[in-house]
Amino acid sequence: MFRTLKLGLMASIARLAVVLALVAAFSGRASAEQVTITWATLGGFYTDLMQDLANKFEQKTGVKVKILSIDLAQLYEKQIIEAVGGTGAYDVITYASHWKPEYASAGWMLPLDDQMKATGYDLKDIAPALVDTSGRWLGKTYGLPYYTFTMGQFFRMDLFEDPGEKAAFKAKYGHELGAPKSYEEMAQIAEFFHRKPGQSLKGQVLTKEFYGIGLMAGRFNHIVDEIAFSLAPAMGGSIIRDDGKPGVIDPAFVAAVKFYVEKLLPHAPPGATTSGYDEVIAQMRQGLIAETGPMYLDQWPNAVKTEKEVPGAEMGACTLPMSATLVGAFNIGVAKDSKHPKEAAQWVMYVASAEAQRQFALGGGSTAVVSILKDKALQQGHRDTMAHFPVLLQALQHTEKARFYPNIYYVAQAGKIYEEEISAMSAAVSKQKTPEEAMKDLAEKITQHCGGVCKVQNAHLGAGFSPKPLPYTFDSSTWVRK
Amino acid sequence: MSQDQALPRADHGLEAEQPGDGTMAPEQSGPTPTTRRRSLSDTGYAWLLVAPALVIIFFFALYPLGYAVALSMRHVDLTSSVGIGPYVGLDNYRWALHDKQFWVSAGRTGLFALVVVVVEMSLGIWIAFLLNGLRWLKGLFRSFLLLPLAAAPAAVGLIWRNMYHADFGVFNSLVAGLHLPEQNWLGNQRLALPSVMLFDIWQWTPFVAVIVLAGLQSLPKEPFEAAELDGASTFMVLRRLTFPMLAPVLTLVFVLRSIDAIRLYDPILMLTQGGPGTVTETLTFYLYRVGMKFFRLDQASTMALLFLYATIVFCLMVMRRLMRQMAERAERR
Repeated sequence: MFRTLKLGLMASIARLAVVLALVAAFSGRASAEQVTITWATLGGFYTDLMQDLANKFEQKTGVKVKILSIDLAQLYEKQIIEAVGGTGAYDVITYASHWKPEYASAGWMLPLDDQMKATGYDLKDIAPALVDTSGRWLGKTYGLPYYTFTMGQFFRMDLFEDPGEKAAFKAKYGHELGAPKSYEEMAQIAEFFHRKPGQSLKGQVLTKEFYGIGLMAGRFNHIVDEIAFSLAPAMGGSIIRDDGKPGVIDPAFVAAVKFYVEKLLPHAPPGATTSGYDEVIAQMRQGLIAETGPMYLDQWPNAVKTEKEVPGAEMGACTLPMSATLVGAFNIGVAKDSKHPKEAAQWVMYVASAEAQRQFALGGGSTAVVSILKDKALQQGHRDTMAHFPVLLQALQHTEKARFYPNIYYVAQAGKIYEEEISAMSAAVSKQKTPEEAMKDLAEKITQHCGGVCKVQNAHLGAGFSPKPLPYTFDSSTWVRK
Repeated sequence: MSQDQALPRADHGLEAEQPGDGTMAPEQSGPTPTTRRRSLSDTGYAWLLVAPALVIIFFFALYPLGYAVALSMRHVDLTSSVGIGPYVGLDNYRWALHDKQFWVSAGRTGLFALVVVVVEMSLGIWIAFLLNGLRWLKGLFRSFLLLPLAAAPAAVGLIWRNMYHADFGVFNSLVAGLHLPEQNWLGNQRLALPSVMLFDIWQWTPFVAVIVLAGLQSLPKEPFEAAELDGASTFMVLRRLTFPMLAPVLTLVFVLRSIDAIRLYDPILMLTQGGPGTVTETLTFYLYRVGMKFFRLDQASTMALLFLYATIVFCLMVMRRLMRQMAERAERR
């Protein structure tokens, strides 16, 4: 009996082994047929939206997209470590605009031009300013923008339109209160609305201090975008001069840093020197400030919540003064070591396509596709998520006309220089150093990173390229009212 | 068989072998072939026991350390065409020793460690004495003390960052409630480092208190009873009995806290990111920036090794006296 039982058990095991082998063989065949690409991208709602797109892409092409959500603070490091190691861990990568020079010059990304040509992919619908600053390197296209954080400004429209405030402002400064046409006007507005407890705002007596402006002056990358990419260029400064030498010690650049410290910062809440964009939006939503400084327009869906949280508030948005504004995006490109470069390129083009971007925009994403930014029918009824689109469109078009493509976007060491700028700007605004000292130290660091004079590789923009300063042209009639 | 020969086997639970008739085996002057084989077997057994630990130490400590030494003598710039470049001798050490930021951040780290370790030791010892004198609820207070240690550093850091926030933080609400001027705790260049110190003191004082309390509770009662009978004052008891007997525990806590304080990284990352400017940029944060933001692994490795040498020298200096005392005590026995 024991022998029978033993034989029966062995037979069962053999049958189970056959079944398992067959299952493994079929699943192996299935997995061999289905290509899976891995996308290293930043965590957050951007990625959650992308999961829906990935599912659609899989239905269309059979290619599965595995999305790895990585915190923005670690994304740069992780991608570089994998690229240097040549591990092939990622097929597709996400990069911020200022990482492009480093990634492309080191050869960590594959150019997309051949794939785009082969599939007839048209770049015309993507904002040219973003394609050039964020995607192009030495004339080749390495990545496509899929989420733009181009800058503009938010303000309390209800305060700006209050008759009493308007009259008082005009009496004090001699011109109308409205979207600032220059940084001097921005500073005047900040000063005008800075009120102490006991003073009145919109006819109501304040019980606590009200500040004129919210600034992202903490030791984060945001301070660089505020000063070095927006304020300083508007005042004629440039991080890297056309000759490749550091421009941060030029009088115009130093004056811009001083202007920020002396004219804007005194009218910001005390927490400004530890604040990033999220704190500034929180200040707005708590009814603490009248306007932001340069601010990422993609933050509109958060900023507009002020209207629900502060009684009587209405939010407005506008482009930044002069021709200079940070034009930046999170971009998507194919990693050099991708095991499936063709499928990876397909996914990159799909994510940046009008079809995918439309869905992305409906979910609250800030798109770089011009046809969507112009689509009034789509934006109808979506003020909470898309009211900033006309402003964004104007900022991108203005940048394109002004040819505001800062040299830093074409210097291979841009990522390292950007990192140095963070502590230098923070040192200046916190008064650890004077603006002159901070910029002098920064210039030395830039020279060290470049190993001398930086090589500005923007020949594809044309001989003698330089930005054209243009007057402020924001058209407020495009604004979507509450 | 001699007693000496039997000892190692008794250590790992093996009984000394005896003849079957119950009589002791005749004493031998040297090892027999059997005992030699056994002693070899013991050695092999010992190696077998420590082998997993050795493998782990080799792969996770010695190999990375050796690799760091190698990197510190090469030109390594991962984000440039250089990659892992040629050997450059001691150039990186020369660079580090001439780098102003290295010395400034090292000085800041030393200041930070000095202040927080002194405060944490003083407060921790005081709290331990207080708790040791309690008759009731000692266990409850001890559990409360463990809370800051049990919390994840990142989560606690984030909470403290919000508590410190100049516009929305609870600290400024408290200060305002006391009619004192509100402060920009983490954004003011003079207050930022003390604010990080306060956070560290909050987090690690309980550690000192718990360890010292355990030390106090393990002290023998007899010497204290004798001192009481002799009419020794509290100060004399503390000076002559309590602190000398606690010295090994205190030294160990001091070394552990010092090493941890000079390795400070998490609170800086969560609270200030090294700012404002660079006023809270400690050595570990600086070398993290050099290594992981600029990808100059040669310079980062060099600074890390210099930092390691300094830490080892410090620990040896502090531990030397304790080791000497323990050796003397062992000799007296």
